[in-house]
Amino acid sequence: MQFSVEVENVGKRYDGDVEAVKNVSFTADRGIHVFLGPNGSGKSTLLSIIAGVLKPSTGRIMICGVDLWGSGGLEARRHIGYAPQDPPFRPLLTGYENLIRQALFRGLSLKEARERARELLDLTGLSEAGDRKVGEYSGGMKRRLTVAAALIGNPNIIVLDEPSTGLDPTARRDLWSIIADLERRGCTVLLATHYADEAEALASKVYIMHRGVMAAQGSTSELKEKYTPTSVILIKVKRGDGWAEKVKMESKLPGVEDITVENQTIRVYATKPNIMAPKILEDLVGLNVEVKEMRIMEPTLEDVYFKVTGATLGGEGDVG
Amino acid sequence: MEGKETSAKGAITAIIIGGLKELIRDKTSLFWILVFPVLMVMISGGLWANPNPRPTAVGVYIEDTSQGPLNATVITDAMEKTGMFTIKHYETLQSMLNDIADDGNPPLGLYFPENFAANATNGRTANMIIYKVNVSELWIEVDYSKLLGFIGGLEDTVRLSILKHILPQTPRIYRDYIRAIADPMNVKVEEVNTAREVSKAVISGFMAISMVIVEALFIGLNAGAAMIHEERETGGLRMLLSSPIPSWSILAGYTLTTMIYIAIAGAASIAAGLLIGAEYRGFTPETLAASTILVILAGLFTMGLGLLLAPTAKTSRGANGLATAIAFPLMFLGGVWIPAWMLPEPFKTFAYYFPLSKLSDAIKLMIVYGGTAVEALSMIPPALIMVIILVYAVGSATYRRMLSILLEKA
Repeated sequence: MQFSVEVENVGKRYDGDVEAVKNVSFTADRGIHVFLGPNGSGKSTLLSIIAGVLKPSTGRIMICGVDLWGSGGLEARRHIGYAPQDPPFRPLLTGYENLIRQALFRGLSLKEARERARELLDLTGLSEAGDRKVGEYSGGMKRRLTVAAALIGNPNIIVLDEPSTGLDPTARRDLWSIIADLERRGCTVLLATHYADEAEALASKVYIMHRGVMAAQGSTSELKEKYTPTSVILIKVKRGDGWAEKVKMESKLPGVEDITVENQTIRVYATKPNIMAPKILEDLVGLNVEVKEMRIMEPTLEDVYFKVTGATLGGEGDVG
Repeated sequence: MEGKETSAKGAITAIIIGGLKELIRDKTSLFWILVFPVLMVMISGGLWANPNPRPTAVGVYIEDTSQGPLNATVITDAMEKTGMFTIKHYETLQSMLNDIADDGNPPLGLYFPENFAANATNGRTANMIIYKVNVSELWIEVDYSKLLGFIGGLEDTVRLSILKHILPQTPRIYRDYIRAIADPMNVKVEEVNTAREVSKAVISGFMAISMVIVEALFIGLNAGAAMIHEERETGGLRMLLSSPIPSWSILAGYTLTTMIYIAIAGAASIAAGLLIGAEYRGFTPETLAASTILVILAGLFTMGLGLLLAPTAKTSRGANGLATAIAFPLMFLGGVWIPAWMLPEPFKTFAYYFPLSKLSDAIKLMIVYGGTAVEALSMIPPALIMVIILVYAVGSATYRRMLSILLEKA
């Protein structure tokens, strides 16, 4: 059986004219599908729609061939495990009890629920804290419990909304390993994040979300090849006037593909960065611009995001 | 199909188990469901169900030295013999006034001036002064009313006694007028014996059952009004909506949990009644079953009302506040805590039609007064049951409507 998610022309418009998701289409079947974008880019709204907790204004979602919002909606939901952005737990119940509650919602027997809850507490490193009330958990522990709750019903399609936010680096790596294991088991994972490194580490396919629109999609290498075939000279300047326009003039030089300026960060996309870097530095010094940092690096998904949308992943994406 | 049923059953079980565990761990809920009914029954029992009210302390200063059969000593002795008053005699008026002024003990004083006995015996106006401590306290007012009542009765006796002596000496033509002036209305009072003996045991039982319905009112209204907001605020609603469970099973789970809460609070109320000496005359399997049905109807009605209130609130806190603000007046004016017959006329009519008052009366008929289940159930008109079911059904539809709105906006 294929654990596919087919999203056809899905849009979400809230009261008034706020359009959180605009006409998004894609098909996800096995692997880790990462939705990359800053807060407000529409990725959480899209995942809420796919998880069945938010009704789309337009379009259709098919889960394993069943219309999620049609008469077979409950059956379709049986395949989905969902970890929302805000941990959804009863604070007076323990982590273990909260997992059992979720397991019963998903139709497991009490015996199965108990076994599965202990297994997932072990997997997410919460076995010692399992018998403590969730109200006493740290943000990172709640986040890990949210992932455990998403996996409790042995779903084939797992929807994870910003699962690593608030985790320390070790816990983050552990979580990545759990997610990678889900891929090995043949699951389809849909994951929203604003961390480019997370997307690079995990994604089979990346979806660039910007202002409710899916601006680009493809594997990490495809996206890099298409949007940033060059190296990047990253320059951070402290202050100075008139330099931005001057620097942009440099883009006419041979070997420079593009130059983007955002606040006090300059990105020069160049095929011969070792030649260009000293020249640019010389120009900036000539303009009395104080340079804080300058380095040559390989392009990341953050660069791809910037190239595609003109915005950074740390910024606001304007809509829900 | 089987899978769907399993998920629905699992959801109901999960909500009930979770709800009970939360109840045990939440001190506030425990207070309202266990401690509050016990306190209410016990405190009210102590206040209202005391068959031997404390005697009122009255200071007495007798200045009068005149003679007559109706003198101050005879009157104060009579007061003491009623058991309603304890008399403390003073040597001087000033010492009595000092005691009243110092600490309000005694709170009341009676001053019999010179010639009181002579005047009272000879058909002249006999003067007397009551001194009352100037504080606003319920019990002082009650004591004062008792004293006034006693003196009022004494006046009647004196008036009729005088009348008896002077009428034979009065020309016949004036006798009826004099009788009318002295005793303008000849009201004859007859006592009616009733099988419903108002004793401490009965009043305590009455209040314990009232408390069961009060708890149904508060728990049902709060649960119905706040449940969807609580799930939304904790994020649980997103998990419920993403789970393969029908929406009715969520409501069923919450309704059953609410019924269990009411049952626990009801048991606590009844136990508290026993602690203060309540006598439950009608505990049989039949009356217990009938009472359970009536309490379930009460719970469905209040939960339905709560569900109807839910859309008017934005948060669970707001919903709880609104539910409590509505429950409090209903508790007093809906014939639930205070019997309908004690209420002012407009509220009497409201209480008469308010479903909880009827349900409460029917349960009391069985448990407190020993009536049968058939007698009690016959007090509940079918229209009332229809109203209760309708309120719950409309409340459920409101809940489903709220869910679908949240699906649009979550």
